[in-house]
Amino acid sequence: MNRVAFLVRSYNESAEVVRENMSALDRALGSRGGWDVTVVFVEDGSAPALALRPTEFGLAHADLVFVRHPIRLGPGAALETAMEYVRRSAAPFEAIATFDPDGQHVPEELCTMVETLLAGGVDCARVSAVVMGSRFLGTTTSMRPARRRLLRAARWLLRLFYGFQLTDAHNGMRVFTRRALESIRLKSSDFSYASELLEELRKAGARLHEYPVTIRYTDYSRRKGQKNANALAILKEMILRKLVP
Amino acid sequence: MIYRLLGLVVLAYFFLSLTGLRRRRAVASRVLAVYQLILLFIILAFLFPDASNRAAHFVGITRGADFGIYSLSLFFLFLSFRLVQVSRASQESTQRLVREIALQQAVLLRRRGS
Repeated sequence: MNRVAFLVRSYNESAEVVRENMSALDRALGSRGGWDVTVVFVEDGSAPALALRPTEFGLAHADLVFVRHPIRLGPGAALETAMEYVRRSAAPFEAIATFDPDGQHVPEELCTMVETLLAGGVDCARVSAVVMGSRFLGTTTSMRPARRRLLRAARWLLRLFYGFQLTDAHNGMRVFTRRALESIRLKSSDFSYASELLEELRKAGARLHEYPVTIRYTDYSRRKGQKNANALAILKEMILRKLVP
Repeated sequence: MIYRLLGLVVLAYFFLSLTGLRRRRAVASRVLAVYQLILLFIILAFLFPDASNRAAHFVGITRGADFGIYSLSLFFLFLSFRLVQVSRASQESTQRLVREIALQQAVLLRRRGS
């Protein structure tokens, strides 16, 4: 039986949206057998706190670990907390998947990404490999042109800074082997963690594969998600990381 | 002349305050040494303006005042990078602390039937 961890972070999410997405994940897990799943849910100091008790997540096919930051640290730090839980865990997780519970991601596709990684027959404890979701290989609904242009620019910057030829630099759907996860230590607390993560993977010599995924832009996710103006802050962080390691 | 004297008093006051901080070990002595060195240069430039001109000529700059401005620009650049480092280190400590507390208080819910 494969041990799989799903890392989910949440900040000021609506209880209804979280419940909907966790149910969608549970349905996707229910249609698959042979996995021993743990969901690590990090609540990043939301104010007001998430109006959903861990018992109300509706997960019937996975264990749930609920971690709450007493104060807000940021999306990068929340992901690092979830990763740290997995690193410290005695359970031999083989695949570790990340996604956001704001409705942009399709849990069913994430499960297929996990299957893709496990089907490759890689030794997850020894091989550093990651399957990254790509909205440019898959489909997107209602993406604004400005966001599309920005993500294309990010693709070129990523190539320039880290030498990766990815089509989608900032996609929250990722599946890591245990070995890949062990090699990552995120220091960036904000959204610039995505480029730091790639830098860490480059240092570790990880193999990166892209998988076409669907990203659904809804009014809710637009309100909640990254603003285009964050791009400058991310670029500044990328430059600073090169100058002040 | 009076402005020069006032300036010197202020600079001397800063210099002595830094020495006090050094004695109390409130700030890393390496950092304080850099600040004291800079203050010493400024005091010397106040006392001997011609010397600053000579120092400027020595490094290929026309005026002592220009030399001062270039040096200060470099110093501020160094200072901003240093501040980035310090603020990042402090942010990382906070993160580690909050993460540790959060992980210690993590709640584990086993699925039904397991």
